[in-house]
Amino acid sequence: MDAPSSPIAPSEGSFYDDSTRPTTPASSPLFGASKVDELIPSMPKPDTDKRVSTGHAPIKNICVIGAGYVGGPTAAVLALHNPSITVEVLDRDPRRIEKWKSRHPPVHEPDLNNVVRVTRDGAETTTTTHGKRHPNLFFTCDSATSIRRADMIFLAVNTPTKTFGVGAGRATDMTAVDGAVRDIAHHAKPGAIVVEKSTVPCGTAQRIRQMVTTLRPGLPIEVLSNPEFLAEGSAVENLCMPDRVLIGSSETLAGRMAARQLAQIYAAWVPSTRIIEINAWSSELAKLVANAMLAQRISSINAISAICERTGAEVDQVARAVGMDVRIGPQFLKAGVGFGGSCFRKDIASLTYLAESLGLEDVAHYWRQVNVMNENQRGRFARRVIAKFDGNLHGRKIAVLGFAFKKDTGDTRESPTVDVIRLLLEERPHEIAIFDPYCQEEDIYREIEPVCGSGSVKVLGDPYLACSQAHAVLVMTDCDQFRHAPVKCGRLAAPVTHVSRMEDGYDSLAEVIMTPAKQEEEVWTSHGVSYRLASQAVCPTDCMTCRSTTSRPAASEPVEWARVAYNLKEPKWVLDGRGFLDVAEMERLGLQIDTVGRRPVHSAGSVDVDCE
Amino acid sequence: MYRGWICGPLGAVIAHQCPKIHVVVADLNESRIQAWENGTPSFYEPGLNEVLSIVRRRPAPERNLEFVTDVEAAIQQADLIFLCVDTPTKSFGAGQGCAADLSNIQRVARTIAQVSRGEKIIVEKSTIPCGTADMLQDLLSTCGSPDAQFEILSNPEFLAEGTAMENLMLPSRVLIGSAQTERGRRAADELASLYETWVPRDAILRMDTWSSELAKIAANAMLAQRISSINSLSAICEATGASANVDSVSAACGRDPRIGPAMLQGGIGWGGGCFQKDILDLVYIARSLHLDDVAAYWESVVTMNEAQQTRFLQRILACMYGSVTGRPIAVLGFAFKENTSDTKNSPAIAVVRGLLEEGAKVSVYDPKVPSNEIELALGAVDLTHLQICRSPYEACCLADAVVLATGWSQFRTPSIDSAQLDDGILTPPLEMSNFLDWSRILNTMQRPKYVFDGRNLLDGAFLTRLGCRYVRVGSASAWDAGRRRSVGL
Repeated sequence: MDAPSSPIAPSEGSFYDDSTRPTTPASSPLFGASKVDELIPSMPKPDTDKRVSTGHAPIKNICVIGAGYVGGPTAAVLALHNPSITVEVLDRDPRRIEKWKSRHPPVHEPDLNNVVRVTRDGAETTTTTHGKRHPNLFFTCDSATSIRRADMIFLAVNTPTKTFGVGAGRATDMTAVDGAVRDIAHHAKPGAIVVEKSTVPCGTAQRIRQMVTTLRPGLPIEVLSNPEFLAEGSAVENLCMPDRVLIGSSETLAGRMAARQLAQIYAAWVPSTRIIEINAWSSELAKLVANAMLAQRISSINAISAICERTGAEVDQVARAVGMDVRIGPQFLKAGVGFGGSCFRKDIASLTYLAESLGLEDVAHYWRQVNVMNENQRGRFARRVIAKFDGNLHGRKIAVLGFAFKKDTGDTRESPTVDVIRLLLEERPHEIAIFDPYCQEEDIYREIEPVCGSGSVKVLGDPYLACSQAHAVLVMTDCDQFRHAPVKCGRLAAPVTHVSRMEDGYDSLAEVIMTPAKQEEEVWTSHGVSYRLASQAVCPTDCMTCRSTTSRPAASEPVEWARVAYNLKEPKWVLDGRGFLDVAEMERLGLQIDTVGRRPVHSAGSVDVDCE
Repeated sequence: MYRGWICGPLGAVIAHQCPKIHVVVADLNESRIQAWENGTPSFYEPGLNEVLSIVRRRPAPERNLEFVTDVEAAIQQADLIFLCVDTPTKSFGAGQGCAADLSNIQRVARTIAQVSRGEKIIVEKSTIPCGTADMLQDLLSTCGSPDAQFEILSNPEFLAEGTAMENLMLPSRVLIGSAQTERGRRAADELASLYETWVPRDAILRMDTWSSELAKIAANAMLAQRISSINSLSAICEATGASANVDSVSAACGRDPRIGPAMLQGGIGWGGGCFQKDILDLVYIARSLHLDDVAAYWESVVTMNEAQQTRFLQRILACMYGSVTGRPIAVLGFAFKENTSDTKNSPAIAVVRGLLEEGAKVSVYDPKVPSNEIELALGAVDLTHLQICRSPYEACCLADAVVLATGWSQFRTPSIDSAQLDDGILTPPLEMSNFLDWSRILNTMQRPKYVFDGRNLLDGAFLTRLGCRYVRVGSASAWDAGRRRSVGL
């Protein structure tokens, strides 16, 4: 897991140890990348080599700076589809690099392990065309060698929101980017192409170019913007079958040539119609906008859900009817407690800050509303819970099922649940018990403690314990386990997939561990090519990750609602924050259910409709 | 019973698709009914005349479309009554400028209550505020005769002006909201069976009336929001003064299937009778439910649209060195969008009004909007410097600047590639003759020949080659005030 590794990540002097994460953050404020200026001792002499660079030469070596959520998978997929290119992943954190070299990469995504094994260890392809493939993905901490060798350098470092100074909470903290750029200026060969992969503020390409020119005058270098569009849980799929690949370049001949070269690398597996070459500014902006517009869809349907709750409409039906308009489309129209994860909030904050700094107050206000609506939605949900108990939670126990910001992830950061719990705690309930099938206990505590102390909040590894003797159950994540599983027949099939996903994505590893004697070859098929995977190095016997993989409790079994219902105390409320539970079924079990986007059944503070 | 803009086309389509059903369109306005009867409705809609003439050509006993002014008789005979009355935004009293004025619909409801006997299904077709079905049910059951029974359905229209016939013939979905009772469902079945003669069954969604009423305004609000969003970004693109370009941004975002490419065109903003009204409705509902944050959220979609129009006007002024007093400016297009003659809330109004107030001599050309409607739409502005032209060439003759305000396709620049341009071939190919001859327009203009493209419709490179200063929404141009200084012009 990447997230848990982060609190210990900042090793001294590491200024790009952590990488950008797409939908979720490793962007904890803990990561200070601070001592940049001290790290640049002396600049090399201005480059006198005026040869016009490798412009036309094919790219042979790629360096990806940042071995995190974006850098790792991106590098692996680049290497997979370009066997003739050597891809090196560079990170200052040796522990992270070691993890990538081991059986347990720090990022777990479906299929990622297979991609890494094929590219890192080499493999035999069972299809006749390729034959044997040699390793072409490497991990290293040696920035000088790696950058010096590279024809193309991807920047995939962390760009969190600034927590201090001008623009705190909105502007982007560029420390890690700046650090990497200094290294590039220091070591890069003339004609190298820098590719921004991290989400950066608009104008960063320009800024990088200026920095390099200042630090090492005369070094010919091109900066491209090539934003990632990865969603947690489907990173490899997003990389292998992208909706579009944006390549932003400066509008000069050299810039366009560099863009062409990058496009050629993608052309190995992406249809050329999906590769869009635009200018760098537009590309940087497009990344922010895409996330802002997705978040806006959620905020919009949530704004409608607030109206539904007070009238008689059902937000699901409204969303379905609206989504059938092809101009709007059906996705991302699910009402709930709002979006989480750092990307949406962060990118909107960044967009807002950009508009503010351009003097466009109305535009800033417009986009700020999306975040405001999202925060209010959480508040509304909490108030709804409180209203169920006539405004007083004294002596009540509230169970919370699900903590992660979305289903099938163990990422706890920027989860809407934190806000809801904070608001509930203000009413001084007796206890709040949290269960999440994927989140680590300590991660949940770490998120909750700063906002609300730890007093009456408990994290439990068993949903029935969490719900036992509770007066209300809040369902905060639409995990499949929380869906009502009617009969026991589904129980065997369903958990298997969850386990493998949960166990840090080690799909095939799980098998190997289960049957250690079975040393049969493992085969992975992707895009019509079958790879015979090389056997992996054996972990030391005291490997913590191996141990926790085998001794994991079966927390991912579907929740039996009948059992939950039996142990609940009156009034047995279930508050569905994701609108996915079966109302009729819950009511049959003797539960009172209340869903986001529907009119409350018996709430104390219900407002009568008056909108004639 | 059908009336007004929506129901003329709807009546025609039902009559066309269901030869066994007799359709009566009733309206108190005699001249309007007469116009329909003559086959010359007062507005333009592609395909409408064709359908009308097919139905009208049917021999007398099979001719199933009638236009009458006797509303009461029409109500008495009908089994199913579509309510298509206008519900404008209130211009007075509580909720002024925001709430919908329901007096029309209430008046019709009372008439229905008075004259109806037996079972009637009342279908709300016009966009009405949420909760109107409840209101109607209450009104009809209290005022109606005891032997009449009413069932109210909500069946919102999803027509876009300019594509109304297509939307009716091949709808993306048909919503039928009914009371969640046995009788309500039966009424919904009846309406559904009417639609099923030409609409696939899975495109017909049934729900409660509240959801259906809300879905209609939510859909419009979210469409308008898309445009407002992209326009807010066009403002950023312009302000950066760099090479950011809203067309690239929207193309890149539109590729995301979760966002989709439609309605992401930067421009001077949306107009028309629906978007504004529906969003204001939504705002009003949210306010009356004490959801101020929700109200503010949706209100910002309207605010952004207004700001966009102001920004466009200011940009025109800034590019022309801050003053347009006495200068001739041509405005091409006046309707709120292409393929319609509707000028309601058209962004062109704000532009023309603004230019007139600045003392410019404005000449307007629109292929479909009648000149009296243009004057009417402009309202209380001094119109002495306004000239309404019959041809684009007349409007642009001797103009200092041309402003493209509506995306009519005939205004497009020919899509000939630049290779041809380099060969000096500037006349558009023959099959393009119904398109505007931009070289002719630019030849008659006065230097320095500004073209302000409010719809991002034109090919900037082509026009620049023809020797004009081309400015489009959402990308900085060399002629913007701030930029001019830095480029040293």
